[in-house]
Amino acid sequence: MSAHTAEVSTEKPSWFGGTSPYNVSYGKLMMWFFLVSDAFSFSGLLIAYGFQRFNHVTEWAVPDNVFNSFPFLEGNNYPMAYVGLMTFILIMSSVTMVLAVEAGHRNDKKDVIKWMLWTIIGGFTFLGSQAYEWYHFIHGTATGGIVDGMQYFGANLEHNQYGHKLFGSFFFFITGFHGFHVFSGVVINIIIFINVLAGTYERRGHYEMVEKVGLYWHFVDLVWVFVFTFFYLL
Amino acid sequence: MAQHQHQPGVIPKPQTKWIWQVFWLLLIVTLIEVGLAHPDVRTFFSPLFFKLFIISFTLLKAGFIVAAYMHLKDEVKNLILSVVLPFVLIIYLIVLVLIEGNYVTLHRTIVEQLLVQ
Repeated sequence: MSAHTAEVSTEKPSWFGGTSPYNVSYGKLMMWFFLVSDAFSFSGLLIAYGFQRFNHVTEWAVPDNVFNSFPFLEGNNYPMAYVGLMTFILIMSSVTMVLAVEAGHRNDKKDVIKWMLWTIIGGFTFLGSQAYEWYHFIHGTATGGIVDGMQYFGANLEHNQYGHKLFGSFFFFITGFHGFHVFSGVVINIIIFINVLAGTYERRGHYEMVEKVGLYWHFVDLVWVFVFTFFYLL
Repeated sequence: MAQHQHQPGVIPKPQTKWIWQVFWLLLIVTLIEVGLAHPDVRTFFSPLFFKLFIISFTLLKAGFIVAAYMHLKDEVKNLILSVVLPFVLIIYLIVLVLIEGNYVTLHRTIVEQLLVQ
């Protein structure tokens, strides 16, 4: 079997070689360290956002006025309703992922397949919601907005009907970077899902790969919790 | 660690109660956050308290996701510390940016005033 997922033995004392002092496999430890470094990237982005926001506090867009539309109910004012729903979708897909990991512990192939499929569906739903939000943000409202005496419709990197143009840049970059993570998460989930279907992990005797991809998926959810707070709510 | 030895062919019953408990907690906290952030509700709080509420709710949610869903609480202490301690640097970065941000804003306002004159 793969050396990356070798069983950890705890017979010898730690730090004398041959055992993992962290009591996890190599692959899982490296996933944790990757997630820590990735969390630093997102922290950097959100801190930069806070810095520019305080720098342009009077011209900054008010998120409640920007993210207030709901699919099929455009033109009404539902501040944060759709973003709240997106958060719910992502948390829900995190729950189905943790259920898949739990089924993997029990070597229950049927349950792993069921819950991983729901996770992939949740991931795609979230990506679709984000596409809707980008579409709405780029196209703007019917009345547009007046910035510096000029009327603008929607937002891009040059100007922004809602306020300072940096708001648009940060929106595209932060939610785009997060959406890219969600997309790669869905792709990795699909690869692992195919492996589960093919019975790779059943032959291996454990479902640790599902656990590792689960760690990544929960991390994506975790980042969204912070983006939701610092970009949308505050 | 997580590989329990089972009888071959026998699949144990799922133990999912804790997963759903954490889910309800995350859902309720998110609903409270969205409710608090509504423009009509937001004005009840002073801006500082509003930020404190929202940020503490966020850290609560993040803590539950990492500890329960990512199983960090079941890992050995070495691993927990290796993952959590680096984020002290993030607090340091936030403090630095707040201090520098004050200077940058001050500098920008002075330059803008000079350009007007």
